[in-house]
Amino acid sequence: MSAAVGETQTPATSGDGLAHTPRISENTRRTLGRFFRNRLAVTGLVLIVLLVLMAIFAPLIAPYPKDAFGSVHMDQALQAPSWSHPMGTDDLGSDLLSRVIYGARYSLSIGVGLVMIAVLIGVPLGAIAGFFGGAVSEVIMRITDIFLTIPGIVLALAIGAALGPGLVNAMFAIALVWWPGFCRLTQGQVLSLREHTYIEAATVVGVKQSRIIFRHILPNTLTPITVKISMDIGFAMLTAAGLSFIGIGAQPPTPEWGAMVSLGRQFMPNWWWYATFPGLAIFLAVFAFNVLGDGLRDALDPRSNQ
Amino acid sequence: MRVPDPQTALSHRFTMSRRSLLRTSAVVGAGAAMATSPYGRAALASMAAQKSSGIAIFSSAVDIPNIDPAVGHDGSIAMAQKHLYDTLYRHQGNPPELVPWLAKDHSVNDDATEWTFNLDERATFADGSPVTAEAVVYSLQRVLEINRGIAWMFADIVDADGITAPDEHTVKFVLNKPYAPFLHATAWLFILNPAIVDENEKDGDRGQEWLTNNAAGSGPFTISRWEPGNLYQFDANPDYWRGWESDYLEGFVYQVSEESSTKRLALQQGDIQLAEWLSPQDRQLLSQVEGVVVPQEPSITTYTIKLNSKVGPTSDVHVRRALSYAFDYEAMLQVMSGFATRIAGPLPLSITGAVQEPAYETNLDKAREELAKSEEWADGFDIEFVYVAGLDEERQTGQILLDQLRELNINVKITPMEWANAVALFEDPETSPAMFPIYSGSDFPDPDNYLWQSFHSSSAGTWTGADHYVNPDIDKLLEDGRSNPNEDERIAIYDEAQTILIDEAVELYLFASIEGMVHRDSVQGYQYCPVMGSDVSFYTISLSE
Amino acid sequence: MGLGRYLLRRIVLLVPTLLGLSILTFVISHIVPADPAKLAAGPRATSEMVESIRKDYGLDQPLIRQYFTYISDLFRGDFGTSIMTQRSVSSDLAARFPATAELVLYAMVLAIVVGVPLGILSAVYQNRWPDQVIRILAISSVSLPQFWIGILLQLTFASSLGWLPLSKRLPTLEVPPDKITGMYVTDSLLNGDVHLFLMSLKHLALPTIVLAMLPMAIIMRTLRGDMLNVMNQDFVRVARAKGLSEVKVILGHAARNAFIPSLTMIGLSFGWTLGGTVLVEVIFDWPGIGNYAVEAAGRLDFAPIMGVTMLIGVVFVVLNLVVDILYGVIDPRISY
Repeated sequence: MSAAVGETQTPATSGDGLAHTPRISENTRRTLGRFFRNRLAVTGLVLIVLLVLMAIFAPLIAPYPKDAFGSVHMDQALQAPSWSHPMGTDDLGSDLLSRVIYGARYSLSIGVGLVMIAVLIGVPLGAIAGFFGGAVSEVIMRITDIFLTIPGIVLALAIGAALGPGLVNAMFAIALVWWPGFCRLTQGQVLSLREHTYIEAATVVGVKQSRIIFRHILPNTLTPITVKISMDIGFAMLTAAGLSFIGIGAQPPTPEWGAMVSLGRQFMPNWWWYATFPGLAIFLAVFAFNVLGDGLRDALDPRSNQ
Repeated sequence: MRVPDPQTALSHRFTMSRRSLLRTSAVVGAGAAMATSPYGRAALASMAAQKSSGIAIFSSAVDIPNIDPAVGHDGSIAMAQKHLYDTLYRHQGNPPELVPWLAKDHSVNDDATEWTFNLDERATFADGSPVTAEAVVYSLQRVLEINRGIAWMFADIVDADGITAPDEHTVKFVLNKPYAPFLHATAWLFILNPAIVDENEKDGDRGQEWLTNNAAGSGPFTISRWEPGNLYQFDANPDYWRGWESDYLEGFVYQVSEESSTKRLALQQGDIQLAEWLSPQDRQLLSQVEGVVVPQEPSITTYTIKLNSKVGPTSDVHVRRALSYAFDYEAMLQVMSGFATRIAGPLPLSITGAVQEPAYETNLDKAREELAKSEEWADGFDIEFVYVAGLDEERQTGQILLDQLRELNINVKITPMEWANAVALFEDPETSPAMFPIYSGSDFPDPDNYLWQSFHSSSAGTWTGADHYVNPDIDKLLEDGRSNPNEDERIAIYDEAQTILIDEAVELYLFASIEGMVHRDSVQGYQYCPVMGSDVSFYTISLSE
Repeated sequence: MGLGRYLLRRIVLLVPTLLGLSILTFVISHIVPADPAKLAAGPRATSEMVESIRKDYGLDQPLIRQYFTYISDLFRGDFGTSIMTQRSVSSDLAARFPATAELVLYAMVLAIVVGVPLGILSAVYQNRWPDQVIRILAISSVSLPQFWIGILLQLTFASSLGWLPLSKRLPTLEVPPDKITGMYVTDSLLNGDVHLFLMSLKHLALPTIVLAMLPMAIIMRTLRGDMLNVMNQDFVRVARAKGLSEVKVILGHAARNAFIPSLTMIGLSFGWTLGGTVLVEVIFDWPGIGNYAVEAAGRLDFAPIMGVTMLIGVVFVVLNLVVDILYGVIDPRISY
C-alpha cells in the first residue's frame, strides 16, 4: 500500500530525529476541503449530527417520554399516524415517535460501542502481528482467520443463542465477531509500512520498538482504519438490529429499532407504521455512516477516486 | 449421539406416484383420481354414494416433531395423533363430553378402582386387521414402559399388570387407587397396531424411532406426506371402520407457517382454508372479512401468572393479594382484542363447580392497603417477570404489570427466556422466577387436571408447579377429590379448594382464552372442542364449492 | 513455488482453521447456562430419565473427552441429533441445504449480472451523473436492513399487488420436481416441467432480489474501483491510441483486467451472502439452513446451530480456496 496521506514529502522531526507529520498541514486543509465539497458526505455528516442530538436530547424532544419504555394506554393502541402521534402508536398505545427517538440512543451506542471494542482489541493485535511477524503473527492471524470464516451474523447468532436473549449478550457476541476485521486490516497496513526505509532507518538507529509502533506506524494506518470505523458503525448497527429482529438482542420494552421492526412485522400491512418507521430510522442512520465513510475515504485518499 | 435417519418410505413412495394425482384433485372433487390411488380401486364401488370433496390446507405456527403416542404430547402433536389413532373414549363438543369410540360402553365398580370396557367389534386398523383388547393392553403397557409423554396420566394410578384382556373385545383396568377422572385419561390412550409396531422395532426401542414419523393406528386418516418443519399431509382412509358422512375430505395438509400476518393474508386470499395461532388483532381483522369465519368458542385453557410462593416478595400473601388488586384486568382483555374471558380462580368458568365471580378487581387503593400489611415489602421492591420469548401476549402482560406496579413503587424487570431455560429454573425455588405466565389445563376438562399439577405438593418444581406451593390442606382436598367418585361430593371438595387458592392469591388468575380455528366459509362441518388437539376434527369436515 | 505446492500449502493450512472452527463451535455450545441433558429430556422428565439421557449423550464425560467424541463424530459426518426435529442434524442439513444453495446461487448470479455492468458504467462515467446515481444506489442497497426491505417488498408485491407469492418455495399442494440437485428451478428445468419451473421461479424471485442487494452493491463498488485503476494504466492508453473503439477498449481490455481483482471480492461476498440468508429465509419462510439455525436458536437446540455454523464455515473456506486458485490461474502475472 502506498504511503498514507497526510504526510508531506519530507516530514518534520519529532524529537527523536525522525519524521512525523506537522500539526495542521497543508494536506489536512486540502483533505477537509475535499470532504466538504462532497455533498453526499456532508449530508451524511449532518444526519449523524442530528442523530447524536436526538439521542442526547431525547427526553426533551420526545413528545411522550414515558412511552419510551412501554407504558400501556389500550384506548390508543395501534392508531395511525396523526398530529398527536406523527408515527402512530404501537399495540399497547405507546407513541412510536418517542420510542424511535429514544431508539437513537441504543442504536448509536451499540454501533459506536461495538466498533470501539473491536478497534481496541483488533488494532493492537494486528499491529503486533504485523510488526513482529513470525510465530506471534502466525498465531494471531490463524485465530483471526477462524473467526473470519464464518459470516458474522451466523456466529453472533450462535453465541447470542448460547448466552440468552438480551442486549448485552448480543453485543458481546457481535464484538467477538467484529475485532478480526480490524486485526487483519491493521496487520496488512503495518506489514507494508514496516518495509519503508525510514522505519528501517529507525530500527537501525536504535529507536525503541514501541515508539516506532505508536509514534510512526500507527498514525499512518489511521486513514484506512478511520474509514473502516465509519463504515463499520453502520454495519454494526445493522447486525445488531438483525439480531434483535430474530429475537436475540434487545428485548421489549427496550425501544431498539430492530426489536421494533420485529414486533411490528406481524401488524403489517394494516398497521404498517409500526414496522416501517423504525426500519426507516435504521436505514437513514446506516446510510449516513456509510456515506460518511465513503466521503472520508475519498477525501483522505483521493487516488481512490482519481 | 448418533440416531440413524428414520426412513420415511411411506411418504416418499406416495409422493412419487401422487404427483399428477394431487395436481388435478387439488381443487376439484376427486372421484376419478381416487380410482388410481392405491387403496382407492377396491373402495370405489362402496364409495359410490359418498364423494370426497378436495384437500383442505391448514396453517399453524408450530411443528409436529414426534407423533409417537407414548412420547409426543402437545397441541399440534395431539391433533395429528387424534386423526391417525383412535381411543376408547373421545372428547367431543363444547363443553366437552366423553363419547364412546373404540369402546361401545364401560362399567366401573363403586369405588372407581375397576374399569371394564367393551370394544366395538367393527373396529379395524388401517391395514384391515381388527382392533382387539390385546392391542389396548399392548398400548398401555408400552406407555408405562417408555415412561414419557402422557405416562404421567397413568403412572401413579395403574401398573403394567393392572390391565388385562379377559376376552378379545373386553379390556379390564384394575387401578391401584381410586381415580374418578379415569375415563378422561382413556381419551389419551391411543391404540397401536402391535403387529406393525413390533415389525418396526429397532434395538429394543419398542418402535420409538419409526413411530416418530409414522403411524400404526385405526384412525380416519393416514399419512401421505411427512416433511418435518414444513408440511404434513394426511389422506382420508375410505375404509375407516366407523364410516364417513356423505361428503368428506380427500385429505388435509398441515402447514407450518410462523408469522401470523402471513397466515392471515393467505386466509384472506383463499390460499389456505383454516389457520390457528393467529394474533388477537388478526382474528379481529378477519372477523370483518367476507368469506372468513372467526369462531368465538370458550376454551378450557387458562392463562395465569405463577407466583413463587417460597422465595422472594411473592412468598408473602399480602404481596400476592396486592398484586391481584393492582393488575389491570381490563387492559389485558383489550390486549386480547376480546378473545378472552376473565376467570375467577384456577378453573375455567365452564368446568363444573368452577367459581364464577372474581374476588379481585383492579383497585390501586386496595392494593396499597394490602401491601402496607406486609412487614418486609411494604416500601416497594424489585421483581422479575420471566416469560417465554416470542409469545406476544405474555410480553404484553409483563408491560401491563410494569406500568401498573410503578404506582406501588414496585419495579418490574421483564426477562424473556427460552422455554427450555425457564423450565430448568423451576426446579429450585431459589431460582424459580417470581412471576411467570403459563397457559394450562387443556388435557382434560376435570378440576383434578388443573389443580393437582399446579397445587399439590408433589408437583412443586415441575413446570406446572412453578409456584412451589405447599399446603397440606390443599393436598388433602385434592387427594379426596380425585379418589371420590361421587359428583356432588367432588364439587363441594373442589369448591373448598378453590376458595383457599383464591383467598391466598396463589396465582394471578387472568383469563381463559376464546378460541376456534379461523376458517373460510367453504369449510363445512367445523366442530370445536376445547380439549388439547381437538380444536379441529377433519373427520367431520367437508369443503363446499 | 508452483501452483501445486501452493495448493498443497493452502489445503494444509485449512486444517488448523477448520480445527479451530470446531473448537469454537464446541465451546459455544457448552457455555449455555441450561443443562443440556435436562433440555433433551423435556419438561416432564424425572431425574432418572435426565440422568439416563446424560449417560446416553455422553454428557457426564470430562469436556476434553467430549470434544474428542465431537471431533470424531464430525469426521464421520455426524453432527448430532436435533431435539426439535428429532432427526440427525446431518440429514436435516442435507434436506435443507439445496434450498439455501439455490437462493444464494441465484442471488449471486443476479448480483453479478446487474452489478458488473453497473460497476463498469460507473467507472466509465466517473463523477458524472450516472456514476453519482449508481453510487447512491449502491450505498442505499448496502444500508437497507434486509429484514425491513424484505417485509416491505413482500407486502407490496405479494399481498397488495398479488403479483408474487408470499413465502415458501412452492404452493402447498404442488409436489416438488424429482430430485436431481434439490434446487427446484434447476430440477424442474432439467425435468422439462414448465409449470413447476414457472412456479418455483416466482417463489424464488422476491427472496433472491432481497438477498442480492448486498453483494450487488459490493460488486458494483469494487468493479468501479478496479476499473478506474485499470483505465489509467498504460496499456489502456495504448489501446486507445491504437484507435480501437471505446467500447472495445473498455470491454475488451479494461474490464477483463479489472475483473480479476474483483474475483476476490466476489468470493468474499458469496460468504457474506451465505450469512445474509439467515434473515431472508426467516422472512420468506424459506426452508433452508438459515431458517433452521434461527428456529434452533429459539429452542436452545444447539446441535443444529453448530451444524449450520460448521457447514457455512467449511463452504466459505473451500470457496475462498477456489477463488484464490482461480485468481492464480487466470492472472498470468501472479506466480506461485
